[in-house]
Amino acid sequence: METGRKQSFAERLRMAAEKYLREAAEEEMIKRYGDACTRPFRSNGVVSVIIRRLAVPLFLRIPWSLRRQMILRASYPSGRRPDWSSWQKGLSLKASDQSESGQNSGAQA
Amino acid sequence: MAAKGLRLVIVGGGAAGISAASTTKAIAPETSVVLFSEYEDVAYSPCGIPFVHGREIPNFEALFLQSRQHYADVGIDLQLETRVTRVDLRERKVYVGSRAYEWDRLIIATGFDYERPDIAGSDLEGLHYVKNIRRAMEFDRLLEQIKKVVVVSASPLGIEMAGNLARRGLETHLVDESGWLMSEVADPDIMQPVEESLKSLGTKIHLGTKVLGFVGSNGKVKSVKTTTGELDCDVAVMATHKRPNNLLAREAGLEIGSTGGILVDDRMRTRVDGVYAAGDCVEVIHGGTELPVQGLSGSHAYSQGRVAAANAVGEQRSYDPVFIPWGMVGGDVHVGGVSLGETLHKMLGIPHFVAAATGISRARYYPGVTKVRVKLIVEPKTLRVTGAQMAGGEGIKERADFLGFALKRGATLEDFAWMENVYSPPIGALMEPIALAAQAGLTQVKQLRQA
Repeated sequence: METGRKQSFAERLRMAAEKYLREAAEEEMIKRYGDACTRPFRSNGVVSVIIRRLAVPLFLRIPWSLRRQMILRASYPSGRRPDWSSWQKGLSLKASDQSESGQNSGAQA
Repeated sequence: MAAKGLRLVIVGGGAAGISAASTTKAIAPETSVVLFSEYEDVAYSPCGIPFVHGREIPNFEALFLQSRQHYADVGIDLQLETRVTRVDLRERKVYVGSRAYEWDRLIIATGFDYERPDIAGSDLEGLHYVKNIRRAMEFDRLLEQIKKVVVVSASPLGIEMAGNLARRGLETHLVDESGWLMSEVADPDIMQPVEESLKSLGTKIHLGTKVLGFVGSNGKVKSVKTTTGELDCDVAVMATHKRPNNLLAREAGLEIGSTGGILVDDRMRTRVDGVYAAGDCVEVIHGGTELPVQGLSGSHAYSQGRVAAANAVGEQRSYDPVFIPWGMVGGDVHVGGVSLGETLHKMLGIPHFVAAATGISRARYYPGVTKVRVKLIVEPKTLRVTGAQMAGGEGIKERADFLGFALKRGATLEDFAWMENVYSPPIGALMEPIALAAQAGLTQVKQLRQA
C-alpha cells in the first residue's frame, strides 16, 4: 500500500502551522534552555520569513480559548466532528470482558 | 452480539489489525474473519527491531509472538503478501486485483508509512526504512559487512537506531535539523542526558543540520550531503516522520482529517455504516486539548483494534481520548512523560508554568540509585497538571503510566504534592520525585502570590 499523497487544504494548513509554530516554540525553549540546545536549521525563503515574523506572532496573541476553537474549526472543514463525548458523559464503555483479554493476539508484545 | 455468519474483513496486519482479528474470534467465534496484509508476516514486534540490531536481543525470532498456524487454528484466514487494491463501500467489497471479497463489516488498519524526502538521491540503494521484519533481517546481515551509518532524523526511532548501531561498533552519525533530540515531542533539558549518553556510546550527533541529498556510486548511497558538510556512509537509516497510510481509505471516499488520519468516533466507526478504522491510519482526540492527534504507539493501535472489533461484532465499547503517556531508552537514559510537554504547550500557546525537581530512584544509599528529573507542566489558574516530562535511569515508564492516568482524572499540583508513595530502599526513595516537583511548583505559586 502506498501512503496517500493527495492532501486536503486542512492537512496542508495543519502541516504548515505545525512547522512554524514549532519553530517559534523552539526559539522560546532556546532562550530558556540555551545550554541544552544547538542553533536549529531554518529555511530563509521570503514566505517563511513573513510567516515567522507576522503570522505566527499574531496567531499567538489570540487568547488560547479562542485559538483552540479556530484550530478545531480548521481541523474539520465540513464542520462535522466525530462524536468523542462518551467519556465526558460518563458513558465510557470499557472492554472489561476477560474473554477478550487478547491473550492470543500478542498481548505480551 | 454478532449475527451468525457475519463476514468481517480486516485490511492491515499490524498491531491494530491483528488485535482486531483476535478480539473478534474471542468474543464472536462464529464470525468469519479474513485479514489481508501485503507483508510476509504478522504478529511480531517491530518496535524491537533496533534492539536486535544492537544485539540487546539475540535474534529476530524472539520478536515473533504467534505463528501463522495459531491464527489458522482459531479460524482467522490470513491472506499474507496480498495487497488490497480497492475498497468499494457501496458494494461492500474489497478487491485484490480483480478478485472481490464481500464483507458485512470492514476494519481498515493500514498503519503508517515513512515520509520519503523529495531530495536528490532518495531512490538510491542503501536507504533503509525500519518497518518490515524481513527487510530488517536482510539489513542486519548487511550491517556485518559495513562500517559507517548515517541515521536521518532524531525521532524516537532514530535515537534508538543510532544508540544501538553505535553500541554494535559501527561509526554512527545522527542528523537532524532541530536544536535538540526529539524536538517534536520532548524538551531540550530532558533530552540533554540522552544526547550525552549517545555521545558516550560513540554516536556523532549533528543537530541544526539539514539533509540536502544522498550521493551515490553505482546506484548505492555513499554519502549524505548536509548543510554542514558531507558525511560518508555505507547505508542511511531513514527514521523520518510517520504519515498515516490512508490511500485506500481516501480513494474509497472515507473522510480524512487534518492530521491525514481517517476520521473515526470513539467507537472507531467511520462515517460509513459498518466500516471501522484503527491504529496509525486514524486520528483520535487528545484528552487535554480535544484537538485531533495521530501516530501514537503500538499499545494505542492494539487497544483501538480491540475496540473496533468489539463494536464491529455488535458489542458497545468506546475508546477514550488519549493523554499519551510515553517512554523510551535513548543510549542508556530513560526518558518519558505525558503529552503535552513544555515545548508543545509553547507551540500551541497554552498558558502554563513549569514545576521541576530532581529526586532519586531508590534510597540514596542503595546500590544502583539514579537521579530522576521530573518536570510538571501546570495550568496556572486551576493548578491542574497538563503535561509532564522526565529523565532518569529507572522507573520512568511506571511514572509516565501513573501520570497519564492521574492527568486523565484531572490531578492538580496539590494532589501530587501530597501524594502517597512507595518507600522501599531497593525500589523507591523516601521522597517521590513527582511529589518533589509538585512541592517546588506550589512554592513558586506561593512566592508569586505573595509578590
